[in-house]
Amino acid sequence: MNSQTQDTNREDWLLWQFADSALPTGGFVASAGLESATQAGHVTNIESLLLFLSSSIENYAYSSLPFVTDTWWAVEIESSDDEILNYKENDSMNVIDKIMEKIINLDDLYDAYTSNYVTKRASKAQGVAMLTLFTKSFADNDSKTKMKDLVIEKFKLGVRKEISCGHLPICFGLVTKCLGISLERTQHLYLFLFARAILSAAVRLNIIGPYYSQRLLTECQAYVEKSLEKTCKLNSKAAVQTSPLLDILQGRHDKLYSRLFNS
Amino acid sequence: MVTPLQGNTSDIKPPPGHGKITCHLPSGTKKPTFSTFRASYPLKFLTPKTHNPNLAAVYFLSYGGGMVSGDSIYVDVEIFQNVNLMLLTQGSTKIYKQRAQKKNVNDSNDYLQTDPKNLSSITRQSLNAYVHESSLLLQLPEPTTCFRDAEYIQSQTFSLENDASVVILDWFTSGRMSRGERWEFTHYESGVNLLVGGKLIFRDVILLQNEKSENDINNIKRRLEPYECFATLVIYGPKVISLTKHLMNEFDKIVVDKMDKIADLIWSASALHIEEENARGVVIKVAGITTEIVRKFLVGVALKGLNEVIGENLFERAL
Repeated sequence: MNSQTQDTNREDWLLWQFADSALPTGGFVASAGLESATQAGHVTNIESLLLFLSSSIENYAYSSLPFVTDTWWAVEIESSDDEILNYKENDSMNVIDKIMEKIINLDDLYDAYTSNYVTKRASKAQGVAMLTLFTKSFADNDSKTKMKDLVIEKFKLGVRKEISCGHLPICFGLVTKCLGISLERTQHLYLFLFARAILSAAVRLNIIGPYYSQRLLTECQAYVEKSLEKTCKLNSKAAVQTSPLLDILQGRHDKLYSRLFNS
Repeated sequence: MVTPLQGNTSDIKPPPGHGKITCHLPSGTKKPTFSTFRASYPLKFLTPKTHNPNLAAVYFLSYGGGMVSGDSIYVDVEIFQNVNLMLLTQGSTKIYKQRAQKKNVNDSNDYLQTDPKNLSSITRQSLNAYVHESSLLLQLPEPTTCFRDAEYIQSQTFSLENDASVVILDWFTSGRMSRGERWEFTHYESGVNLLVGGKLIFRDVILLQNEKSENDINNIKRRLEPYECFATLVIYGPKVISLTKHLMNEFDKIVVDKMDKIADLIWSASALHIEEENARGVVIKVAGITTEIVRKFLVGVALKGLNEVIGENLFERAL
């Protein structure tokens, strides 16, 4: 087997791991506004659930995905240059600091964009979980010679010290880039995981059963493709919200008298 | 010390659709003075009499009461210490439809990829405001109404010094409801940026696009029904801190039980710029089934108490 095949196989393998619902990223506590929308009477049947899915996915692709994209680009370390030994003593720190500055700026911008405190809270919780996942499951913790490991370690410390917020799209773009997942697949994965989280919430809220949920997840592919067509090249400064109603519904989540989810 | 320049500035004619307002409080007085107050066709400013101390108001008017495709309005506003300035419009801002022959956009999906400045046929409005310390800027327009096939982009940036305050209302309706037009415009985009001491603390951009190709399904309508009017209200700074607290309290009182019917009005509140556990402002988002129901909420709940700052009569005139 040549190394290119190995790289592709490794990327596939990682994607399967990310798609596995056993991946400990804490996504199971988020309903992305579905619980609130259901209790407010907006999601009552399959048709309205599909409408909720399509508008949520589009809104997420326009508002959050651009930050994944920009972060993915901001980590400018080629796989061949990942060994710290390839750098002169100060150069490696300069490269890391430069990346760190860009990522923190993106994180700040996303925070300014996300005024809704329920969305903000969910995004931070899932972002930190993503960083923890990298350190505990993927990083080379012994040698400490990989540039990418150092970038994530430094960012994680920054989040702990509250220098940066640690929002999900930033952490996601950072982790996928450091794992060597291509931009296209990162973007697909991001929206897939979002759609799957809503549908898994729909099952636990008893709106649909597990079989029907898989049927709808298949239908979601079309929504994801359609949204990606319009948003895969958007940068963070062009991020927008496309559903003012979803924003309000999600912002009311904490007001629900009884609730299963955190968002 | 700056001296009043009233009547002294009209000789410099700004380019079409451009306007500039500078307002300050001459020392020892309570009456704000405009040191710059100029606008070019199709934009016009009017300043009504105000009776409250430190308060001034400006109406933004456009000839014919609306904007057509290609119209662009750019306004710069700067207010100095201890001024409370209110920006108002008379009646809703109507955006008329795009003229077909002027349409020079290849594909409606390309807006965000293209430099917006090249899209000369889109109606646009832009406001840049600079608010000095201890002053308060109130942007309280009537809602924007986009008619069938209209394309509109609005962008507002408010730069505040550390101790300055703002109230920013940005709202829109589904269209000319009296003619049965609901969400029939082509493109509506509205962005608000709030910077404090040079740091961006709030950015909100709403984009609603109707892609006509999809077997005549109006996606905006489907998603936003039954609501016909949406508002974003940003309240920030020491002068409006009591209003911020009042709104956070009102929102805390809400308990949502499972509804069988969709509510006529819903709103959410989020704290803005929390420092040492105290919010310095609040962002309110509202959806209502009519414009009137949203207006009633704004006057009766969201902006209640603001009349103590700006004077009751003018407040009623504002909304």
